[in-house]
Amino acid sequence: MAGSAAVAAAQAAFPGIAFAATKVDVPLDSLSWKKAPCRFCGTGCGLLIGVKDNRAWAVKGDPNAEVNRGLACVKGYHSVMALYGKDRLKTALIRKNGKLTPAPMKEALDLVAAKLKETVEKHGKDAAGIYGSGQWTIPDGYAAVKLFKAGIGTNNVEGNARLCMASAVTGFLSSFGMDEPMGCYDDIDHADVFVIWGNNMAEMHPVLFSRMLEQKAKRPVTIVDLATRQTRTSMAADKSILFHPQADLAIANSICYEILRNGWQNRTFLERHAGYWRGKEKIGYGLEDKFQFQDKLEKISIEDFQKLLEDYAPEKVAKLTGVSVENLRWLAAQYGDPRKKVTSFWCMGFNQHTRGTWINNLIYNVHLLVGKISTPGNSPFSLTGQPSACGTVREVGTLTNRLPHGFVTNEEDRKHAAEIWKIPADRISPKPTYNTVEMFRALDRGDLKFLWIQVTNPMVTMPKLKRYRDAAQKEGRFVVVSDVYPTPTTDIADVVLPSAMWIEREGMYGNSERRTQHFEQMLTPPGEALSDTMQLIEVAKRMGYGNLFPWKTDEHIAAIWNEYSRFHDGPKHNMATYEELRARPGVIWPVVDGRSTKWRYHAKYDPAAKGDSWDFYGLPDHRARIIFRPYEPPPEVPDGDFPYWLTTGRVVEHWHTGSMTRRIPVLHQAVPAAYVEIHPEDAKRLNVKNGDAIRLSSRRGTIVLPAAIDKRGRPVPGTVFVPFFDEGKLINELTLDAYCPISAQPDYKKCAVKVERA
Amino acid sequence: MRLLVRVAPLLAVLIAMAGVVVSVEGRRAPEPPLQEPANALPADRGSFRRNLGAYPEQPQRTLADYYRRRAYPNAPPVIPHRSFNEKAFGGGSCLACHREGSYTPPLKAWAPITPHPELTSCVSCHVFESEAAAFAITEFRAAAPPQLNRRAMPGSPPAIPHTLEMRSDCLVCHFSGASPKEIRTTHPERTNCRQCHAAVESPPADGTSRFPQ
Repeated sequence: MAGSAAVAAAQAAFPGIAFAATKVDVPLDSLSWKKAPCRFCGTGCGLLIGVKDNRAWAVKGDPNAEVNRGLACVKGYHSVMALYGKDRLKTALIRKNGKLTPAPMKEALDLVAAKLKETVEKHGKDAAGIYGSGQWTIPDGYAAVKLFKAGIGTNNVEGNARLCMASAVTGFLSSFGMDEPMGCYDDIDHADVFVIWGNNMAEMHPVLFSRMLEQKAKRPVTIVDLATRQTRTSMAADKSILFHPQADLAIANSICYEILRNGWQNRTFLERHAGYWRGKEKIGYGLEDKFQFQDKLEKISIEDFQKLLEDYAPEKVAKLTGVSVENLRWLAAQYGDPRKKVTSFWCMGFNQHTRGTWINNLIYNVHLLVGKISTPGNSPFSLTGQPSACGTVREVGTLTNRLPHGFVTNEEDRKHAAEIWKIPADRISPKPTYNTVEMFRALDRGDLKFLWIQVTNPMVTMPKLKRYRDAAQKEGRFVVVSDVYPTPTTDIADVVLPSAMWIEREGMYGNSERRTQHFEQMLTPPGEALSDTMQLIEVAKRMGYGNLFPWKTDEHIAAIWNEYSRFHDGPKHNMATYEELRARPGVIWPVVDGRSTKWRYHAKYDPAAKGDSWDFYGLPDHRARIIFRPYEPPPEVPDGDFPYWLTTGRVVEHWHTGSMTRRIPVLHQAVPAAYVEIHPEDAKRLNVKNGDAIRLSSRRGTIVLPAAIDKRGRPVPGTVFVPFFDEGKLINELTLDAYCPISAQPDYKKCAVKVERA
Repeated sequence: MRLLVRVAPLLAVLIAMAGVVVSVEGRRAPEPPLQEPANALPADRGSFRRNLGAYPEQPQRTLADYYRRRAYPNAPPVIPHRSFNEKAFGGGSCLACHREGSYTPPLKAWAPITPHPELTSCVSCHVFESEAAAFAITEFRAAAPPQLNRRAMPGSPPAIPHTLEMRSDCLVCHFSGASPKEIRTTHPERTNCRQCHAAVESPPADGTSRFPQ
């Protein structure tokens, strides 16, 4: 912008914002402040909600919450406004003659129960399923698992966390035998070096990023941003390293190579606490219907491991990765320096990856080689994106292959569950059915005829969206959607059930650092809206499964917690009591003798660990696994017809599909619509200026978006970035439904597109 | 010296507006990191010294201007002016004006001083506005701004009608170039504000308040 133009623009820069809402005199001292975890991301900030006269008026960060210590982000501060969109769903809707028509809740629940029953009787148990979410509270997920796995007897239970952290789970399971991070956010207070892999933390985990910046202001701390796109995170980092999409696999291996070449490995740690393995290779991409894959690990020697890494010497992979030899060596030196504590953070860049499990394994390899794990500040830290992806989907196990704290394929786990649920053990099917992508493919094929979708918006988030939208609308499919606002997903529903949202009901979430957080019911839900838990219980009762849900309405959350937490009994996973959860702004599990275990797998911090140091007790030999995983290319790479990479993601103002944040005026007015970020050189070549319309096309779809050149992000040349929150600009029409064969999590970060001036 | 302090942020803004990312670190000796214990008294972080004599005779802003930027009283205000560099971070961008609160001729305005300059990721809480219409109508009801001059007795010092989270440096709002005229203090030299002015907010029953009771 030229100087004079800038001044002219600045002079016109005070248009003013009209928050033209009714102003009511509510003196501050008349509010009662109640604690709740934030509704939005997986950070799990503690908020205090100012409530009076059955309305929420204000929010402040909870100074007693260890996660955020009184700070929130713009979404948290305005979160209560998401309750008050004029178009809140307050009554049930039933599709009659092709049109969604208001109906009494009772009639809608009767219909859902009748259809579910009829589907099971006519087409078998596995013709009906439920697709929930990492926004399900723990009781919601528990009720869903119990109804479908213990009641109906099908493993057709999935959660949208399959699209968001399934690779983190399979990474943890293969490397450590148990899910979820060993460390906690306190690692931020101890680490000397932070390496952020493919995660724009400044926008996606802003409060944790602020905690990191606070450390930087206090003491010498190095922040490294490794990404395919320069963002606010890069701008705040000490070093920004850009790489080619998919090259993270080669970078991590190159770091391992350099660590061993320089002798930086922690030999004592490795001899006592780790072993070397390799898995299957050339494992496919899950693009075909009914794709099946089972990984198999085999033991190798350290020499084998070192030999396999030879292909990843920095000078051999500099070209492939786009990272200079010097930077690859510098990165390895950060991990290798014995005086430095290193914490790595990642989120969707690693997890939404056709080799998502592999890249999770590889980052553990790096930390394990130097023994920087399970001690304060030494932490490979997998972040999550939803408020209860960990608490509900991972811990309750709302996935086809899971049970609360177990697996359907494990006989002991089935017996344990059957005992707690007081059902015959053979009621629980030992066979996993569909992962999320396969579930929607089954709906398309007609193998699945009834699908209940709760607290998520797959008609915005599914990759290769058109196939799955068409599938849901096919004749003979019955789709129930429980939500709080109309969305593209309620558009395709046969029945819409209005849900009670967040603090309109009681519940618990579980955040990224194993912290369980309770919130009480503060407000009455609007109209006939009902919590997802109660919707499930009401349907269960109508189907004759009332004995599985014998609790009184006013005590059902406490009763569910008390029953559910029995699954986790023991020092490795023990949960806080209901009373503790009510009293405190979140408690990290395992809780042993009333105390939280902040770092797992080390005897100094973890009562379950034996010996005097590390004990990776999740695995039979108590040794963490260093698993060799090679670089393999993604299934679709840019070519002559589709010469650009497309990558997708979020912005700080909007959360998930924007169905809540877009109804908060401050947030919507900040970022009202999607756009496409393009590198200035690419824009120049296309003769495109900021705001000009650009047409993006992939083999699956086309979209027109305004160009954003050097706004808040700058992708590497040959790459474009589009945020996915805008239901008016569905970028997932273009994305590819390839997934990691081990985790079944799709890759939203890489597909090939054509970019033209529209 | 005072002139330099007032002009330097302006230069930084102009350079930033020209599309160049500038670092203002090194412009002045870095201040020690600000530590605020959970139950701190309101802290004067030097805004009084910085602003003494440096603000206009006639305040420009009114309390209505102040609240117009907020979705409800105590909400983080939005950024009413055009973004200079959407990627930039506080230390190199926002704080160039909002740490000192100097006069900014291109905007014809005094920049409000942030009460929490230790938080540098400004755009995680303060977002830019655009002219867009609402996505959906909201039925959120904002509380009216708190009443001023709430005194226990005639003549007693008025109570503080707002929360103090992130805003415990009283003088940045009550004595600076951007101070709304209704709330500008007549006696900025007395910096221990809460010696006389008590917070009206009653501590919640569950003991979650950070403030001394």
